[in-house]
Amino acid sequence: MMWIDQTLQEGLRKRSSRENLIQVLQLLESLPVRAIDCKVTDWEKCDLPRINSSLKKRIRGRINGTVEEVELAYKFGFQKIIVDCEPHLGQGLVSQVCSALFAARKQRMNIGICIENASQFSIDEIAFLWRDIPIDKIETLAYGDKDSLLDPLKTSQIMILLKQKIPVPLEFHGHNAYGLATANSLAAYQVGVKHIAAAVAGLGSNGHAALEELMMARKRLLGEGMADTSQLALICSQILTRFGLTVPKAKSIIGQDIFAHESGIHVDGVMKNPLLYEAFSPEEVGLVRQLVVGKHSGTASIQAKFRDWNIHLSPEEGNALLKQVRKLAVEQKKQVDDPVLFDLYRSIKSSVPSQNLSS
Amino acid sequence: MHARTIEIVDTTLRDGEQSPGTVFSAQDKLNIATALDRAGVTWIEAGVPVMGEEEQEAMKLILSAGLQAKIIAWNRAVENDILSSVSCGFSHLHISVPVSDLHIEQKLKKSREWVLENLKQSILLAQSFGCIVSVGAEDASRGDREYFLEIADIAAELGAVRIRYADTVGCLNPLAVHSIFQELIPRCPLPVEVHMHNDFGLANANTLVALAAGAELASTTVGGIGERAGNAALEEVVTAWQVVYGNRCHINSNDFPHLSRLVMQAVNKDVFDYKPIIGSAFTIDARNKIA
Repeated sequence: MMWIDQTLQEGLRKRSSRENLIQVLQLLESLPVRAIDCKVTDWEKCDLPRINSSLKKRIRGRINGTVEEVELAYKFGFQKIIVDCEPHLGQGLVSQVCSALFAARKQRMNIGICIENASQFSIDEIAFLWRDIPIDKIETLAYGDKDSLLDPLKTSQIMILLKQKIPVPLEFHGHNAYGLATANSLAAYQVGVKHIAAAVAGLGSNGHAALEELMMARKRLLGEGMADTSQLALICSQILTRFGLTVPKAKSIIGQDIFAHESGIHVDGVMKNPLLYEAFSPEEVGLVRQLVVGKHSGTASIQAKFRDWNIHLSPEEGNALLKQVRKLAVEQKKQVDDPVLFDLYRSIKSSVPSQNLSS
Repeated sequence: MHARTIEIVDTTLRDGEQSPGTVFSAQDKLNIATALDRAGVTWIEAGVPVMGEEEQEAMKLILSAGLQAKIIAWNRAVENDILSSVSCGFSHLHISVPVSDLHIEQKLKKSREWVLENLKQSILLAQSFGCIVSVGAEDASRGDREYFLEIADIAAELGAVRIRYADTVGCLNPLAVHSIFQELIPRCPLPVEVHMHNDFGLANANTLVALAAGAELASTTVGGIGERAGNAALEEVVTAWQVVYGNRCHINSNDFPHLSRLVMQAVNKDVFDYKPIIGSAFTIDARNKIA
């Protein structure tokens, strides 16, 4: 299995600082990405150094199908490259792309080719383009869905057929204009495509499959791979921070609030068995479960809060408090935080209890 | 292939509001319901009246706004829930029961038979007030398919108008959805509404694949807000259904920017730059692609 990172490239495209980009490169070492894509021209524009030997194996230069860019890649020490092309229907590969491929082979680079608009073509047309490639020893053919035309079922059908026609490993490079990139990539993986392009939180021009979603979907939904993911939320958040972004609180897999439960039914359920309302445990991605008290709370969550504080609530007190909580939550348009909840409790209770709040 | 039309049951005001720490004021709820109605959403799940007076006031506001959309109250199969909804003036009630053994045994601590009987009584109670009932099957994705169909059969016999298939913890993947719905749809006596959660980022895709396999309605929220990682997003499902699947949905996508601004302001959140359709990072103007 091989995830191919597209996160760094978004930082390059946005002209992040050299320092931030290098930090992201380091952070990516903690994620199971086996290759990191970057456009060679952007690498130069962001003033990044020559590729050292430790990076050579992991980083892959994207080349826009010209000899000049192959030469630039060589100058920066790229060993792996992928040549991007966007052919027109019925025209085959343009001579410029062919020259770039010859130039790259001459430099003994590891060469892949990406048809960025592959989803515009039929299987036969792609097979025809493949036969058009003028050099042998192409290591991978990347199938691009530049315009986000695919759905998961179509993706799986195309990949099954294409695998029979193309003799090298396939790579799937989906985009997310309509929110289907993760689904399409997972479908490609399920039918045996082992190289998948993905970016943390789905970053990228027109978006990508989200790396963290694919990792966890593979592990939890398909039961494959037992990689330790306990730092996942933290690492992803650190990467986004370097690019001046914040992980949305409700972002699947890595958002701070995805294990926060408020509604009465859910809190009651989670206290009985977290599996009732959680697809996996918060610890698995390095997050924590929170019980939020607010408009949608039931008595169970309020009882639980006070149990934590070693205060016994009678059912009558619980109900009275719940009414107050709902009223206040609506008034202030948000949840009721712990100290405020405790104040409410004191106001409905004539004698103030002596217990202290533990947290 | 013949272009199919689907309908949206928007639950921004119910499941969307259940995203932790979120509260819509009564005015927010009215504004959002009005905007959904204007965009062409035909079903609006407005809230849970049994939650209390504040919620009931908001519900009455929406019900008296003269919207074209049908306004639905969400209920457990519990007498109090149904009575609260009826006394607000609702005529469309959604009644939800868990259908997985995990939920039935560990949450309710009851049996499948108990759930069936309870559902029956609840439907009859709602109907005794002249209400139109839809049934929700919570945690259907982790439940026994035959039991889901049993629930659907009973609901159909009693005259419920549709059944909701809920992937409560978002644990389905699109290829699995395809094979499940290929089998389920021909055997289900009622139109199926799908309610998918986004725990693995697959809610939109799971919804669309189910629709393509014959489900007739999609439960969505604006911007995908909802419990945990949220729900299928209205704007993404509608746009993809039209652009990617080449089908129809009578919702005006020109209203998406306004709707998303309205909801995000009310929940005091920003839209992530990389959120499809409504995020700022997307250069494709999807709306122009809809034929």
